[in-house]
Amino acid sequence: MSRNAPIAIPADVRSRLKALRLLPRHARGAHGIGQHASRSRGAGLEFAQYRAYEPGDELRQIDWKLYARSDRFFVRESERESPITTWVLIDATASARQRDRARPEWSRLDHLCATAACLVELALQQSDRFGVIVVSGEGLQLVPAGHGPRQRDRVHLLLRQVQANGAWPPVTALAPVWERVQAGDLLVALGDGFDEGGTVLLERLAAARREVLHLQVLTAEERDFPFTEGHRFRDPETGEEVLGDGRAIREEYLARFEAAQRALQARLQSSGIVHASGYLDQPLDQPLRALLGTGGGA
Amino acid sequence: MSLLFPLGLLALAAWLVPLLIHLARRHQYAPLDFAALRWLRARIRPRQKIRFDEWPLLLVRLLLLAALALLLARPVLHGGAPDTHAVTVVAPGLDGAALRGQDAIGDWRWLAPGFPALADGTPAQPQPQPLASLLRELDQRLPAGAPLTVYVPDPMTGLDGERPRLSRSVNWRPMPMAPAAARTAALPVLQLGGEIAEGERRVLAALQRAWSNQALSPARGAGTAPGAGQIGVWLAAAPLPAAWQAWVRQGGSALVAPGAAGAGWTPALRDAGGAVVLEQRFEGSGRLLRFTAPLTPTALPVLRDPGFPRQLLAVVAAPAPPTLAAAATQQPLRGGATPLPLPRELTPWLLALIVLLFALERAMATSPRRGAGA
Repeated sequence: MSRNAPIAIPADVRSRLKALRLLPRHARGAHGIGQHASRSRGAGLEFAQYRAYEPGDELRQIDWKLYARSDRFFVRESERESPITTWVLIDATASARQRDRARPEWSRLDHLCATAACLVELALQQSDRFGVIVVSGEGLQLVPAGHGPRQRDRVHLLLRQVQANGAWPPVTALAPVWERVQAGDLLVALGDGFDEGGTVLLERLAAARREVLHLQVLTAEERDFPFTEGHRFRDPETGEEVLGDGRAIREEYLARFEAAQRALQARLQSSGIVHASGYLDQPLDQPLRALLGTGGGA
Repeated sequence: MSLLFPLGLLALAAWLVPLLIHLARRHQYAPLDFAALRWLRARIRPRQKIRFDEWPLLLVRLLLLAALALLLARPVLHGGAPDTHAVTVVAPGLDGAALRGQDAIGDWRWLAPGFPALADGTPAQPQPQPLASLLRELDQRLPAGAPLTVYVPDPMTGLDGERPRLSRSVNWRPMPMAPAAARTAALPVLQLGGEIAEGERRVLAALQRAWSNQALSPARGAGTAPGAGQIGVWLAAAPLPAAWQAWVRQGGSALVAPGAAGAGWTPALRDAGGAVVLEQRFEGSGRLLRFTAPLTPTALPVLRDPGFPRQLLAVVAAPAPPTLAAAATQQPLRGGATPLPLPRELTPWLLALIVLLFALERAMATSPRRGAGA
């Protein structure tokens, strides 16, 4: 995908997106009218509790049938369904430039941005607030949380100009994440999961009552290692090079990579982070279904 | 199959070039971005085993070179079913189109050098070739077992010392045709030159009278050679002039004085007693004649012999050999050597194969898929 082309979600993916919901397990909305359970009580459909009448309550909120039974004033309260704030965190370090030789025009960053666009669509469907944070070697780029179609346009404007470069920034550069993403917000992290700093950030966010989902996007070559000839492999972030014969090192690589993936999953699971993996040669919504289908608890 | 030039296979040494190219390419690794590098364990020496890059392309290149080397070695193929279709040849001079009639399928050819097809028109012949020799050549060219039909004019020309002896029986078809021109026997005419004694002149005049009942023509000078069909007579003491010598070398016959210089004289005519009367010496394609004595009856008693003019005529103008024969009597005999089977040249097929392989090699070497894999 050209970096200047608008992010287009394929029609089939868009139609399947309608069946998905961004349902947090414990993230709670605060204010406004939305689709999610919230801590704010008031008028609504879902019964929450009875409480004693206090001066100032509206008379129409008093449950008169209960008054008839108990001769005391009770006020019937409901849970209000409120919107939540969804954050999309994109890992745009140099490793996001990785692309498959079979499809050289589609990089991991393209896939990440398209997935982010899908998530933004979901949030927009649900009238949720949403914002985007892009982490690259140059630091953070972010769109503060907002709602509505114009917020979507702002997000797309950012996604279109994202360039992948550098390595994961130091912890001090990540302070804006803590300022913006508040407790109770939903954060979907998109990336390759190769950066230790990124995993540590997610663990800390999850520990600080942010609901974190992790969607790992891998290339088909990282999954299959289809190299049969000698190659000079280069790490795009560190510049380190490894000379190897594809056939000879395949078995060992696959075993080590699989072990690393399992270790990452176990680590995220122990932190309460829902994890799913997608691949560049698969549709955009496939990992989203795995992620949101099991993640929607409430 | 055999090779006419086996040394051409030395060109297979050119195999080294693509082999080395495909080996050397292995060392030019383009760096390949791979984000999951930390799980790769390097083997600095990936493989000591010799391995070639892009072996399909290498294979095509080797095949191409092998085909070129084989082309240089000129392979021929023995065996195979010989092409024994019936062949009909027509001697030049006959009306080939009329003989062929409606037969459009058969292989009709002229009995001429190269055996051109009848449809190509009458062959241009700088010199008529003897038909018997052409028949033998054609018999050796055609594979054994191919039926042969020959149309010859009757009476036929172009014969030589032996009736053609061929390896196959021939369907012999004489076609009556009048010979081109009836040859008339030309009697020689004596042409005097230079000074000549009166007595000798009388003898020569008598010889001329005896041969053709004609008078002698006037003597010619040293610069004027005799014409065709004449016998030059130069009995002067002076040596034969240059013009006459040149004429003799081109095929003339000249009578020179007794005791003329030169070696290699051989007897040409003897008298009744066995004494040599006339000697001859070949000069170029002509000959010189000399009497052993002065041309007088006293010196040469044989001059008094009434049969002498006829004997001399037989020497100076030998009767021409026959050139025509009844075609029916010249039907070729059986029992000639069986023609050797002709090996088939594989060059056109090899050339087609080379062109095909070259196109394949170019297509593979310039395909866009290849650049992605490098």
